[in-house]
Amino acid sequence: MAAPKVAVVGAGVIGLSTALCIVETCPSCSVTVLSEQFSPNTTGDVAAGMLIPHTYPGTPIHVQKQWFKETFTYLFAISNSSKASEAGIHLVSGWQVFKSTPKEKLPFWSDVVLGFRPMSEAELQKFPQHQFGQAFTTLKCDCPPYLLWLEKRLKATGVQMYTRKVADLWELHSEYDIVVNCAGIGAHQLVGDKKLFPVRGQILKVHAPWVKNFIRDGDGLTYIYPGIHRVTLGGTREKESWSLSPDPGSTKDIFDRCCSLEPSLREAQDIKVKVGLRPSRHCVRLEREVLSQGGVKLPVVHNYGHGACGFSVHRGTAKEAAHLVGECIAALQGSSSRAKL
Amino acid sequence: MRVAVLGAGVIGLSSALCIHEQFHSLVPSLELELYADSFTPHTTSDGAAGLWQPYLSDRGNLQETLWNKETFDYLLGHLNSPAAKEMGLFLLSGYNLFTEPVPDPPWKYIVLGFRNLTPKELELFPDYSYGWFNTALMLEGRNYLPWLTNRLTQRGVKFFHKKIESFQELFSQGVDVVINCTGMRSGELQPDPELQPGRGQIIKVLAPWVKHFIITHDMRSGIYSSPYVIPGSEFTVLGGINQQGNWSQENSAQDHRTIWDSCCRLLPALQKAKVVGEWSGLRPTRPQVRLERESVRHGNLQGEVIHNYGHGGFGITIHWGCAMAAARLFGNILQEKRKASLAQPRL
Repeated sequence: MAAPKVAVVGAGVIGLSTALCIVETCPSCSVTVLSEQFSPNTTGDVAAGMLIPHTYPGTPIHVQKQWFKETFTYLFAISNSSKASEAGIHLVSGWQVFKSTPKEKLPFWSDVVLGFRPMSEAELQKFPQHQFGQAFTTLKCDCPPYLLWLEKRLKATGVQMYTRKVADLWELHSEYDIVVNCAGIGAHQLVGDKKLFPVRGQILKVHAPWVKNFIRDGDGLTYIYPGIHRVTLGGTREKESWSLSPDPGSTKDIFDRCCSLEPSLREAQDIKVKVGLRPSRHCVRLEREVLSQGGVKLPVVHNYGHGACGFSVHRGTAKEAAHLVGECIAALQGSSSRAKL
Repeated sequence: MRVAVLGAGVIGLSSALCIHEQFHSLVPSLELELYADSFTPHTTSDGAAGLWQPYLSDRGNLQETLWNKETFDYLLGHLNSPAAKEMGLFLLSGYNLFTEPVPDPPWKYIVLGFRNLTPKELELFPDYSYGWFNTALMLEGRNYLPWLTNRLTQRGVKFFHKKIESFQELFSQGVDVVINCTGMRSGELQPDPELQPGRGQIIKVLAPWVKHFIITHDMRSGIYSSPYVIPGSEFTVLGGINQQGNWSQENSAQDHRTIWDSCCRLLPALQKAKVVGEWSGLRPTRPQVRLERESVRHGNLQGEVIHNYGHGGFGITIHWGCAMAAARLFGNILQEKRKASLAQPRL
């Protein structure tokens, strides 16, 4: 097969990073990105992009850890280079605090982030309502800069990107040899995956440049993540809610909860409210599928359903998806050489 | 009781505030006046980045470590208060880097979460092989000095934009006690060969992705003569110049290159940072802080002076402990005056 034509559906953090991995592992591939939305209108643009993983119930921990580690290592190298500010990647230190001591004091990712250790008594005094905490340093991917940087890198390798709403993966079968489905929450409609459900998250992005450390409540609901220009305050986790409209009650509640962790936020300026739908699933759907109609086959690689930790595992799952694309190419080449006999 | 504070940097303003807070209700006749020829944003304290961090060793001055601790604890207590942002006070974490293992500093238990750097963290800084991580405080002079000034103005302290030529000048006008917080130029009021300038130069850049302070150390060339990066609330400070005996407050192109090249080597992403300013200042360096009383006589004029100067590159770090100590000395003076007036026979 001369130059396999690969279509990547979705231009969020998963689609763009997957496209980049495919280009890196298969230089002969012709990769095109098709998406209804591009940055700054993707789900990832709303997210803070903090590298702090959650746990997928349906994926073995060692796999999640591998994904996280690959992602962390990849971004760590960028943060350490002259490209860091353009790519929007920076280190940030802070604390995860718990109102009551958690059963699991050492999450699976504690040896991937930097300097992980329990907080001292003196550090906990800043959080009078919390009894236990962990201090560490991790990475943050600021969006839109990170997505724009991925787009720039893709364009430099000749990848074409088109705004296009794909209604059905099959519609691509005549133009492309392989389709990679990174449609995120869009996969609910695109491939009819009823196991994929939104977990609505509302956040505030505020101007508070004196906040240099992150603070996160271990319950995952309240967090303060300082980005390059704005601080993200969160949040909410509303299962099965599809609403993209900001809720004023939630805005006040988020602000109050964050101010109780960091009182100086009362002076925050220019509060912007955003909503994103976490594309949640029991486990990330990262697998091959072959669609076929009337004797024609279309190999598909699915890479969606990253829920609350798209950024934390994006590079790891992108690499695995690229590997699956390689398998599809090998299978196509095998069958095309059989067809020649 | 007229008290004149000389100097409107962090030392002068905080000493004035501390004395007023403690004594204004005890001494109804207390009149506090502040004299300076430089006010915020033109003082040495305004140019400093504002990071709370003492030198690596206390040079044998245990008292200074105690004053540093008092200051840190005082500021920590204000961190969650509504005034914090206006004061320019916030937490900042970061790195101290060395090319060889060094003993832990005397302030390791004062800051929060002090620990050694892990091998992975050291990968970030290939020129360094050892280091510390801790969380400290920033107290930005450009915010703190106006805040102190507001507190003093509210309290009725009078400000005079004036250069005082001698202590006698004030005593002849009826001032009873002078608090001498004149920093680098204390020598003009009273020669002090131990007070020497430690010239610093800094470049202000916009690099809002930097969220940690990074202070490197060259044990041979001395404190602050090795690159450092300190992110503030509006801009990031790049520095690494400390020239003993250099009185120039002009920005030097060569020092600019030294700072820029060494900081970009430390943090390659800084190459993309936009320069928004440059400043030189003189650290009022002394083997130890001069914080003591002196009775000054000139002819038939007599007055008490409390000296509070020579805080080198750690003025912000130590200011409140010194202000409290100055207030204690002032309290001693009040005690003595009270006893003296009680002992006066009534004629």
